[in-house]
This record gives sequence, structure tokens and C-alpha cells, in this order.
Amino acid sequence: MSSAPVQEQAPHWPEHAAKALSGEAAIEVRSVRKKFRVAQDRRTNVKEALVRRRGRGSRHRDFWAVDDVTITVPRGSTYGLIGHNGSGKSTLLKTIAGIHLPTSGEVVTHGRVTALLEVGAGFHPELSGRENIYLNGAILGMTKKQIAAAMDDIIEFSGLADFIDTPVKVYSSGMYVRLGFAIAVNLEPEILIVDEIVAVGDEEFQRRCIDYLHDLRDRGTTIVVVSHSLDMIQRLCDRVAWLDHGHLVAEGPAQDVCEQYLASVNAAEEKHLAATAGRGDTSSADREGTGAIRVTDVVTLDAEGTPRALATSGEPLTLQVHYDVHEPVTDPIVFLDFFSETGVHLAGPNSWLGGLRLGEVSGPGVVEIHLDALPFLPGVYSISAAVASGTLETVYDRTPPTYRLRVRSTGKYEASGVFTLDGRWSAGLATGADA
Amino acid sequence: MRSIATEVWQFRGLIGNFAQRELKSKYKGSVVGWTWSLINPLVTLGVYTLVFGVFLGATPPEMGNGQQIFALYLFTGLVLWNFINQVAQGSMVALISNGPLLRKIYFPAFAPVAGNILAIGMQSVIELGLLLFVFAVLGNLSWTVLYLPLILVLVVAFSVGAGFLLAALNARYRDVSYLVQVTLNLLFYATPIIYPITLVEQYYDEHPWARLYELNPVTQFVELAREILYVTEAPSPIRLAYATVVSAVVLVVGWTFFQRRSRDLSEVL
Repeated sequence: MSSAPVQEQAPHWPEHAAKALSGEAAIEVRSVRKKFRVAQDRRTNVKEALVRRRGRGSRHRDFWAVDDVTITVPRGSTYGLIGHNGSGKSTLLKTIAGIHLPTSGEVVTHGRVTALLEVGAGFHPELSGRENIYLNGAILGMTKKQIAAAMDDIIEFSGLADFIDTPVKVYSSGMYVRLGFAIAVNLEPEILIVDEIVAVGDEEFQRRCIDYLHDLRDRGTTIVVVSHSLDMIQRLCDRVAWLDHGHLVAEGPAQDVCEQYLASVNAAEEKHLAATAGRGDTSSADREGTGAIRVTDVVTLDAEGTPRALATSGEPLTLQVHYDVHEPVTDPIVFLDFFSETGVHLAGPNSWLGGLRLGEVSGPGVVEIHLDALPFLPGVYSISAAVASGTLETVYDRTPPTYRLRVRSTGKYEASGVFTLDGRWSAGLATGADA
Repeated sequence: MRSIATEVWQFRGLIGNFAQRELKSKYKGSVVGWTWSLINPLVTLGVYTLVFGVFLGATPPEMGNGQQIFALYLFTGLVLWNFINQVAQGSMVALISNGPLLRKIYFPAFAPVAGNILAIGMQSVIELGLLLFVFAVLGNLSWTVLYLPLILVLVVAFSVGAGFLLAALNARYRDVSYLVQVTLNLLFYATPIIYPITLVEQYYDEHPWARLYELNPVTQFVELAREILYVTEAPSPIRLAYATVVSAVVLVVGWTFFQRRSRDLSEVL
């Protein structure tokens, strides 16, 4: 009988892949709660501490920034934390980084944690870039030898070779950030904790940061990241935890959780908008036109014909222009003009080009335009409505672009730009002969 | 005690870096740079010598070689005092000023405090070297100088313990730093630095409570240093025993308190 163990023939996985597959945890957060004392009167001097020790109960309010959160971050994975401001993301991040001690529960990390909560936090202004690299590296837990080995990479990555021996106090804020990020990612972190870093630095550097995070991920570094950019989270993360008021709402694959989160954010925003009813100002004095016809409202309707404060990119949409007639006119034309947030005139459809003849109008009415699929990508667009005579000689009314078209995302990955450009893609050989 | 040694050793690189940062940034942009670190104590020494030695005519005890030099008597005490004084005040500043960093990155909070103490120590070593050099030139070095490392260990242990204790307290109650300033001012005069201890000792028989004066550990450090360096006698066993006990207790209490508090520091700094 052969006694050779079968296990020896197991394929050779790259180390990090094997670890990720085995589900080994890099970070275990177990029922962590973190209480902060929102002090109306924190005792910061001895006299008060002595006087207030007894008697009147201290006037402070307990605030649970993180409340019973349990998550496991698998080794080698990239993990995202999302949630609105004040949801406890950053507190949880700091607890994982060891900066805060949990009030109850525990955080177990397997590996050296490098936290990047504020880039360049440890810089001393009087010291040169090079000296600060040594200092910062030591703070992040590296030995002198390890730092020296990474020195050239750091300088190269930061692109500050010409300034590396100048005191950092003369650096621009962008240079500061570049150096800080370069240090953190080049010191071979085992577990990297990142808080909204890419919000700073120029476009090119941001892209390099993201690329580098991808690189680190491929090399098996466990990354935990907080970001408000769902787009970035979806592209970077394997799993995501969604926090709300310190509670864990959902945890799972990045795509799923982001979609849930977005749906909830959209619903909340719609409710808020409906409550505040952000309609255009129809009595505005800066209206052009003779006033024979006045536009009274522009309303957004969904496929079912229900008024909506939010439109969804890629889905059917109806826009209604409501008007009042003060002097009867014949065959007026209704214009809609769409502007981007930066003021670019995106589109200007009108009822005449659309083949609609209104005939004699003498009373209040509605003109609608139906879109099968809204081409605009998520964002806020401005609409101006106008009504002019059929000959275009007389403008009856033109509103300023105060009507808002709020377009939300479906949660699916979307192209960049302002609107979708659908088309059929195909491929062929570049031999130059007839296709 | 073991835990102190292992922790400090484990983070020696970080402590060294903080010390370097302190030293490098201290005289950045000044023309004479490091010379300042000697000018300051020498001017103090000069002023005290002039006021107390010349104008007030304080007579120091005899040195081992029979001379009486007030400036050297004074400087022996002043070197130790400068170290203790600066560590006590500097530790509080070192912790507070690194607060923003401690809120952003996890690293042991004792590192910047220890780095600062190390930087102050470098300065004291230079002063001490100068003192020993002068004693050597005057032929006032004897075998008793071999006790110096022991006494330095006691002084360092005491200062480190006190520094950590004060730093942790001050993080919570910011009045501590002001309290310490006042206390140190008083302590300076409650220690035989600018006057010989015999001035106080003469009251011991008449007023027994005056012996409380001897409870001040800094008095013991200063007197021990003078015994072995200035008078070149063996240190008195009672002083040595008392100083050892106080130093050990202060070190352990200060360190333990600091470590217990250090995990909450990110919230109070």
C-alpha cells in the first residue's frame, strides 16, 4: 500500500491567494462598542474634579459611536466601510488601528497594522523630507534598516526627489500628502487602514494611489478603507460593511451592500426633497417674455406617472411643463433647456421639433415630453422652460434655469461623463481589406 | 521593572527617532546652533557664582584636593537639577504636543516622552563631561567617581518615573503643568544647590522637624554627587539607601500609572 499522503500534490497557490481562500482572518472585530462622553462640562482641572466628585451627577451624555459591531476581515482582502457622516466609520477604523480602546468587545488583528488616517500627521516642519521619512517610518513601526531599504522607492513614488532634503515646512499641501502616502504604502504594510486619502492630491496622484492600492491588494496586503466615493469602494473592495448610527446595517459583497446603501440614501433624499418641495420660483421678477403665457411648474414623473423628486438614470422619464394662459395664442412652441452643474448647455428639445402642434391655447394646460431612457448620468441638472410663438418672433415666457432635475444612480457601474452614449461594439482585424 | 526594559528596548528605534527629532529641530536656523546648549548653563553658573559666591560670600566645603571653589560646588548640583527639572517639565510638553499624532496613528505613547528624556540626557551628558574634565584638570578625581554610574541610574530612574507620572496626569488635568512649575521653583530652593547643606543642618538639633528637609530626594541626589565628585568621599550609605528606595518606587508608580492611562490618551489629548 502506498503511504504517500495525497495532500502533498495540492497545487501551489500564491501565498496570499491561498490565505484568502482559506478564509483566515486578518482582523476580527467582536461585538465592539465604543462610548464617548459628550461632556457638557468635562472636568479638566483639579479643583473641579474635587468639587464635583460628589453631589450633583455630572452633566454628560453617553454617546455610542460604535454599537455592537462584529465583522471579520479576511486576510488579503480589501474591505470597505460606508455610511453617512457620523455613522461611526472613522471610530471603528481608529479602534481597529489601536488608537481607541473599545469600551467593550475586542479587536484582534493578525499582522502589523499601518494606519493612514491623516497623511503626514507625524511630520516635523523643521526636518527635511528625508529625516521625516525616518521619523514617520519609525512611528509606523519600521526598523531603520527597513526604512533605508524603502527610501529610494518612497522618494521616487512621491516625485519629490528635488525637495527631499528641504525642510517640509516649505512643502505645498499636495507635496505633504504625496510624501505621507508614499511612506505609508512603501513600508510594506501587512494591514493597511486608509481614511479618505484620495480626497486630496491632484488627479494624477489620486490615480496612482488607487493603482498602488490595487497593487498592494494583489501582493496580499489586507486593506481597510473608508470612503464616501461608492464608485471607488465598488472598484476596490471585495466586501463592504455599512454602518448607520454606530450599528452594522449590512455586511457582504461590495456590490450588494453598495446597492442597498444607495437605495436607502436615495429613498431618504426623496423624502427630504418632497418635504421641502424644492420647486422653481415662478414669481421671479427676472422672467423674460411678454407674459401672454406663463410657465407655472416643471414636474418630473416616473414610468408610472407618479411625481418624483428624483429621476433614475437609464429609466423612463416624463417631464411636464405646466402653464397658464393670460392672452390666447395659436401654436406656441414649448422649449426645455438642460444645463449641467457647470453651466454647460446639454440639450434643448422643443415641442415643434418633436412634432407637436398645440393649436389655439386659451386656458391652463400641460405639455409633456416622454423619454424611454434618461441618458443623463447621476448628478443635478438645471432646467429652464420657455414658450414662444410659432414664428419665434415673440417670446411669451422664459424661466431662469431654476428647476432641478436630480438624477440618481441605479447602483450599477456607470460610465463617466454627463450622459450615456449607447452603441454596439464590434471588433475586426486591422488588415485594411474590406470588412 | 522588566516590562519597562523590554518595552523600551522593543521601541528603541522609535524613541531614538523622537530624540533625534528633538535635537535636530532644537537649534535649526540658529547661527551658533549647539553652542547655545552650553551657553545657557554656563551663564546661569556665572550669575549664581557671582551672586552667591562673591556678593553673599558663600563658602563651600573643601574639595578632595583641599581647594574651595564655589562654582564647582554649585555646578555639581546644578547639572543634576537641570536634568530633573527639564525632564519633569519636558515630559508633559512632549506628550501634549504629540497629541495630534497619537490621535492619528497608533504607537506607544511613552515613546515621545522617552525620546524627549533621551534628548535632555544628551545635553546633561555634555555638561557632566565638562564638569568631570574640570575636576580632572584640578586633580580632584578619585576612585569614588566609580559610584557615579550608580547615582546617575538613580537620578534617571527618579526623573523618568516622575516625568511619566506628571505627563499622564497633565494629559487629564492641564493644571498639573502650572502646579509643577510652582513646585519646581520651590524645590530649587528646598535643595542645597546654591547653598551648602550645612546651612540647614545647623538647625537640626534645635528644631527636629527641620530634618524633614532630608526627605527631598533631590537633596539626596545632589549630596551624593557632591560626596563622590567634589569631596571625593564614599557616598553615605543612608543617603544611598533612601535614594534607591525612592527612585525605585517613583519609577514603578510613574510607569504603571502612565501605561494604565496611555490607552485612553487618544481621547483626552
